[in-house]
Amino acid sequence: MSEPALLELKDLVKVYPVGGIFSRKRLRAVDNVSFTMPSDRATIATLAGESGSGKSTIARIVLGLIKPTSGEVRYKGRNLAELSRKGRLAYNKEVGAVFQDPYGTYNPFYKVDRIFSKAIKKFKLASSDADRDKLILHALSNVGLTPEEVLGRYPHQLSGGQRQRIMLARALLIGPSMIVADEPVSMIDASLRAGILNVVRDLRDKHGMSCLFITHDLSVARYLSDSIVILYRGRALERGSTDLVIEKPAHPYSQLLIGSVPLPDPKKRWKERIELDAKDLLEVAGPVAGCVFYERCPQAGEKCLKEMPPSVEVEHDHVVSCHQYS
Amino acid sequence: MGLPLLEVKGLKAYYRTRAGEVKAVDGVSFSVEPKEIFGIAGESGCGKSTLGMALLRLVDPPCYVEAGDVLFDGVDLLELDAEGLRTIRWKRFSYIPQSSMNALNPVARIGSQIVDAIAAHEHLSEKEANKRVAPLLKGVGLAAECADMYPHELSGGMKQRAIIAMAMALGPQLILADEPTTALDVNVQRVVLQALAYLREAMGVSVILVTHDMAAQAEIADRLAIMYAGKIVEVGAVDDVFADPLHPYTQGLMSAIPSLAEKRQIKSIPGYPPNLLDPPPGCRFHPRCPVAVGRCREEQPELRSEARGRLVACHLVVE
Amino acid sequence: MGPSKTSLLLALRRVLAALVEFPKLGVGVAVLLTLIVLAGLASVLVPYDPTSMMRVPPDLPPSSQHLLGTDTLGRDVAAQLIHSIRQSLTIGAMAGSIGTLIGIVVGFMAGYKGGLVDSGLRTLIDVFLVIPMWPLMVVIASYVQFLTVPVMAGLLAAFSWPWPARAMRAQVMSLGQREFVNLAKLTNLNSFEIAFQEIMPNMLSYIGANFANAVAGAMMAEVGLEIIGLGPQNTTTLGLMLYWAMWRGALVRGITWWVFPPIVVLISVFISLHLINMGLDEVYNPRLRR
Repeated sequence: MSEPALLELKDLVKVYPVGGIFSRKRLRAVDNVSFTMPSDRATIATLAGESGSGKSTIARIVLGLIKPTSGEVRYKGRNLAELSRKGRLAYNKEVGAVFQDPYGTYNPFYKVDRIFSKAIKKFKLASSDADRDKLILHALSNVGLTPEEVLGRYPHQLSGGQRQRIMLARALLIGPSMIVADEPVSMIDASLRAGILNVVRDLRDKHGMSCLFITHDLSVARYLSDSIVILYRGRALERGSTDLVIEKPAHPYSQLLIGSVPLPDPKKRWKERIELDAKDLLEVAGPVAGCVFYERCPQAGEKCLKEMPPSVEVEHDHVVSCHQYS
Repeated sequence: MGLPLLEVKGLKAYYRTRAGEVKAVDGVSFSVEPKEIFGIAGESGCGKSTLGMALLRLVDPPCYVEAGDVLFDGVDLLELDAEGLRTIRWKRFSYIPQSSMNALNPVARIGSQIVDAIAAHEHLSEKEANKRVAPLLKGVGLAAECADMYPHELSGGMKQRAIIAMAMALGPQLILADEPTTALDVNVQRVVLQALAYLREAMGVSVILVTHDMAAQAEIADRLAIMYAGKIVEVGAVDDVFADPLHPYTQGLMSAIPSLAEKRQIKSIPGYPPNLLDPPPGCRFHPRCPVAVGRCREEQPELRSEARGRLVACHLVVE
Repeated sequence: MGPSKTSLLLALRRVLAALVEFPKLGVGVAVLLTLIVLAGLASVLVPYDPTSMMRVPPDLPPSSQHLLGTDTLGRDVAAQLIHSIRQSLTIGAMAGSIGTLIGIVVGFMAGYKGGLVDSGLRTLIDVFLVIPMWPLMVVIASYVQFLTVPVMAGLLAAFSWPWPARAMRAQVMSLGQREFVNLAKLTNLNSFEIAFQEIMPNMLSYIGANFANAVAGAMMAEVGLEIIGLGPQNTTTLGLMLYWAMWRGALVRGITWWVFPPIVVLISVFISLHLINMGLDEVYNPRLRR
C-alpha cells in the first residue's frame, strides 16, 4: 500500500478559549481524533455525533477554514498546514464543499448562476462560453435539475432542496476528488431528502468522488455511508464499517444514540424513558483525564474516570474506545 | 365516547397578497379526542404551521381566517370575543410555536418567565404562582434549579422543555406543538418527545403534534393526519397509516424516509409542492402522482371515510 | 431602443414604484430633490451676487417684487436663500461623502481583517468619537486663514467619518460570518474580491442610510459653526444668513422674514434626510412595514 490515503487525520486537536479575557477555561472542540479515508476506491465516510461533538469543526478544519491547534491533516500525503498559497488554491479545487444552510450559502445579491460562473472562472474550468454552458448543463442534469428551472433566478426564488442540489452541482462541476458535506440535508424537509442523498450516492458510485459526510442523523448515515466515526465531545468513541457499528454498537454511547433514533415504525417504539441530567451537555470541560463519556455512562467504572480508554479492535474494521473491551 | 375535545370543520385561512390569495389552509376538517396525540405531518409549505396558528386565532394580516368552525369543547373559538378567547387560549388550549426556544426572554430567569405566563392569565399572588414552578419543571424532566437559570445557561433541549412547562402552566387540556424537535439532538429529541407523551399518559393532556418528522410521529402519535398543499389527504390510526398508506402522497412519503433498522432504497417524490397562489386544478397532488387519472385533473377529491376507519381524499381509493 | 435604454426605463419605473409604495421614502426624496433642483438652478435664477449689499431698499417685508422681502443689509432674502441652499447642501454633501468614504475604507479594513488591524483602528475610531467635536472645530476654524466651501467640507469630514466607520465595521463583521463568505473563500476569491464583491453589495442600503446620516450630521455641525460666524467668507450659506440676522437683531426688530426662511429650509433638509433614512430601512427590512 504505497499510495497515501486520500484523507488522513492524525491526533487532530482544536481548542477554543472560552469566557472573558481572564478566564482560563478552554473548550476542547476536537480532542485527538484520527481516522483515514482510503484512496483506492470512492467511499462515503460519516462523522456522526450530536451538537458539540466537534464534527462540524473537523469538517471546517479539513476544508481549511479553521486552523487546528495541533495534529495533522494529510491530503494525499501532503500536510495541509505546510501548503503554500498556491498549494492551498489547488487544494480548494480538489476538495469541494457543501454546507448545511441552503439559505446562508448564497449571496442574496446575485443570481444563482454566479455560483457556477465564479467557480468556472476561478478554477479555470472552461475556455469559452459554449464550454461553460455545457459544463453547467451537465452538472445540473446530474443532480436532477434543468437550466430553465434554476438559471437566471435569485436564491430566494428557489426552494431549499433546489439550492442544495445546485451546491452539489457546483461541487460536481469543479470535479474534486473529495467532497466535504456538512449536514447537507438537515435543513431540508424529511420527505425531500431522499433525492439529495441519492445524488451524494451517485457522486460516489457514478463519478468516483469520495465524501466526508457530517450528520447527526444516523438513519441517513446508515443509508449512505461505508464507514462511520461516532464522536462525542470532540473524541472519537467508535469507528468502523457503518453496518457493523450500527448493527452491533460496542460503545455505551453508540448504544444509547442508536437506541434513541426514532424509527418510522409505530410498532417499534422506545421502550424505556431516558432521563438526561439537569446539566445536560452544557459543561465546558477542561481536558478530561479519563473517558469523556464518564458522567453519562451507565456502565462506567473507576478506571473510566482516571484513564483514557484505549482504542480496541473488537472485530475487523470496527474499533472502539472503551475500557470494557481492553 | 363523548364530544371530541377539538373539532375543526372546513377551516380556511388565506394570505391576501398583492399577487392574489395564497390558500394556505383550504378547507381542513379533523377532530382531536381527549388524551390523545394527534399528529399533523406534511412538507414545508403544506400549511400546517398556518393551520396551527389559525386554530388559536394567532394569524396576523395579511393572513385571514376566511371560513370554518373551530369547536373547542363545543365552543367555537372563531366566534368568541377577546375576553372569551382569553379564558380558553393558554388556559385550556395552549401553544408551543416553532423555534420557541429562541423566544425566551434572554434577561429573565426561567422561573420568573413561567410565573409571568401564569400571572397573565390568572389572579394569583407571586408566591402562589412560584409554587407551581417546580412541579411544572419536574413534569418535563428538568431539575428545580433550572428555575433560577437564564436561557443562555440552558441547552436547546432544556429550553424547549422549559417552553413546554410554560405551556402546561395553567393546566390546559390541549397543547399544540409546532415542530418541537427540530434543531435538537437525537437524545434530546427523545426526551422532548417522551415529555410530550408523558403529558398524555400522566396528565391526560391531548397534544396536536405538527411536524414533518415522520419518525417522531411514529414514536408518539396515536392518530396521524397527512397534509398536502393546504388540504388534509389522509387521516387514520398511526399504525394503520404507516403499515398501509392509502393516499399516493402518503405512500410517497413513506418511501422517502431512511430507516435505521433496514437498508432500503429511498426515493423522493418527483416534482415540487405546488404554488398555493395558483394551485393545480382538481386534486392538488395530481402533477406528482404516479397513478393519476383524468378525473384527478378535473375534480378535487373530498376527504371521505374508507372502510378501514381511515379518511382519504383520493378518487382512486374511495369510490 | 437598445437593451440599455429599456433596462434603464424599467429601473426608473421600479424606483418610482418604490417611492410611491414607501411614502416616507417618497416624501423625503421629493423634498430633498426639490431643494437640490433649486440649488442647481441657483445661478440661473439669481445671476448676480446675492451678498452684495444695498442693492435694494432694506427691511422690506415680502411682496410681489421681493418674494421673501429684503434684509437689513439691503439684500433680497429669496435670492440669498437660493444660493445659500446650494452652498449649504454642497458643504453637507461633500463632507458627508468624504466622511462616509473614509468610514467605509476604515470600517471594511477593521471589520474584515480583524486582529491587530481591527484593534488599532477601533482605538482610533473611539478616540475620535470621544473628542468633543464641536469645540475642536471652532478652534480649528477660527485659526484657518481663509474659510472656503471646500475647506469647510474637509474640516467637517474629518470629524464625520468615525460614526460611519463604526457602523460599517459592525456590519462587515456580521456579514463576514455568513456562509457565502466561506464559500467565496473556498472558491479562491481573495480578500479584496470578498470585501467588494460579496460583502459590499449587501450593504448598499446600509451605506445609503449612513450617508444620509453623515450629511445630516455634517450640516448640523456646519450650521453650528456658521451661526457664530465661522463660515465660508466668500459666499452665503443658511447658517451665515442666520448669523447676519442675529447680528442685526432681526428677530427683536420684527424682521421675521429674514430669520424664518433659512430655519424652515434647514428643518426640511433634516426631516427629508431622516425620512429617507427611515424609508430605506422599510424597503430593506420588510418586518418594519406597516
